[in-house]
Amino acid sequence: MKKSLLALVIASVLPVAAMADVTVYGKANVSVQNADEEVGGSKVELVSNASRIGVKGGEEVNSQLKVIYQFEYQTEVDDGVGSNGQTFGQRNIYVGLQGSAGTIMAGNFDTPTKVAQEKVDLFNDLEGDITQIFRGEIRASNIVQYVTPASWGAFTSSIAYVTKESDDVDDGVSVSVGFNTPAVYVAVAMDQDVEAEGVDLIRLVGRVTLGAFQFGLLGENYDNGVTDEEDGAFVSALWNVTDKWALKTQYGQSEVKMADGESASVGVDYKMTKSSTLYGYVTKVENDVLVATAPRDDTYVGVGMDYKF
Amino acid sequence: MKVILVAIISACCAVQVYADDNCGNAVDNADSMNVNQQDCDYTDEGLNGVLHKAFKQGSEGAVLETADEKPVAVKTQTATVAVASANKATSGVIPFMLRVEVDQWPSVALARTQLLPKAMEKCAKGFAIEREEYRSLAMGRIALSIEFSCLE
Repeated sequence: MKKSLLALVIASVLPVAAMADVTVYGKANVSVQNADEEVGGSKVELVSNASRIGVKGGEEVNSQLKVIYQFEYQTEVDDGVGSNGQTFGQRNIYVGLQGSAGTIMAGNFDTPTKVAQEKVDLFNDLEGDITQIFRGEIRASNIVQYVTPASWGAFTSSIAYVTKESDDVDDGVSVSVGFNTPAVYVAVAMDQDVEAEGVDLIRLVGRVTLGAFQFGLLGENYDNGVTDEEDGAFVSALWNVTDKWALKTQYGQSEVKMADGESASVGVDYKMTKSSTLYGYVTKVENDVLVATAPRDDTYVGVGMDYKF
Repeated sequence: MKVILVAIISACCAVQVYADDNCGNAVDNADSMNVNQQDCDYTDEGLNGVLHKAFKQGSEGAVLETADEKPVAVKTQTATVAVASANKATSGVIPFMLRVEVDQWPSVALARTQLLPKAMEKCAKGFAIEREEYRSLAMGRIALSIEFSCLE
């Protein structure tokens, strides 16, 4: 169905007012990669990298208050079936109230600790994503969050309460404090009992943008309350060679998720238009397995396309 | 200490100034989970732009096409058109209204300037401004409405 015909069909069943303060958005990101994995062997695969469609908007209640909302769903462009066996998977969804004193919102969405990574992960949603070797990348259910108001300028703090809806399990708390400008970003974030009861995590993030260059840094400390505390660190660098070409690389070493976990990636982006980018990458993920389970010595080489609409 | 304080305040102000020019893709804005991010106008971009135009074409009397290009750096909301007649206004007795919302007073002048060429698109021989209204909205936003009439 052509885009214009689809639009007219939608317009015919929804009232005009529905579009007043609504943004429909999404992206399709697919890559073809050769995956050479320690477990699973070598194969060529088409991967849908967090492709999604969503709606967000708001409505003014009065001069001091506004309702905000977002509904976002993941879709698998490659084979139409996600890890949950469904065509669509729930991503960030919330409804909230925004005023001069800040924003309170509730739903199913990324914790402040996860959001604190900002733009330092240059291979986000790809095989080089920091989630390979770090924890804290949690999209929590039953989460209620307060965010400081925009009047605080570059300083932002988010405090989230994650209800486990059980009398036997402690509820979780996720907090972040950050200072964000186009040139500099620093943040510290903490999770307590979010991943599980007794599990604590602290994350430090920094990002510096100097002209065509961007440098990122992330450090993490993880305590599961059972074994020793584990640490990890990660660095990334981006060079906008021209307004269309960019080179990027990142490296992380972490004990947080697996013993001697390492992830290294290099990549190139070609921005065809503001909305569409071609990219290529090479990523290596490995660990030093002490117990003979889940060994990683994996190499991924791929090319892909990212289209935002 | 004074120098550090000035630097911090300057950085905060720099954020505000820069933010006016920082309208990325709508999907990136949503992914950032930054509820304090500026409102960007995506009514002319991608699927969202197509849907907004479709609704404009579907609403009664609102058939006029506006020649907007990319999301503006100034924080402006969708410019909505309320037309007294479905036909292209060529008579001075058939006024039409253009409306725009902005986040702050310094943006009003630019937003008003952007409405004038849109009015000229509707009126082959020029236009006159019949009325201007400024209304206060939530979150400190301002709604500017200008009523135009085409010259004969």
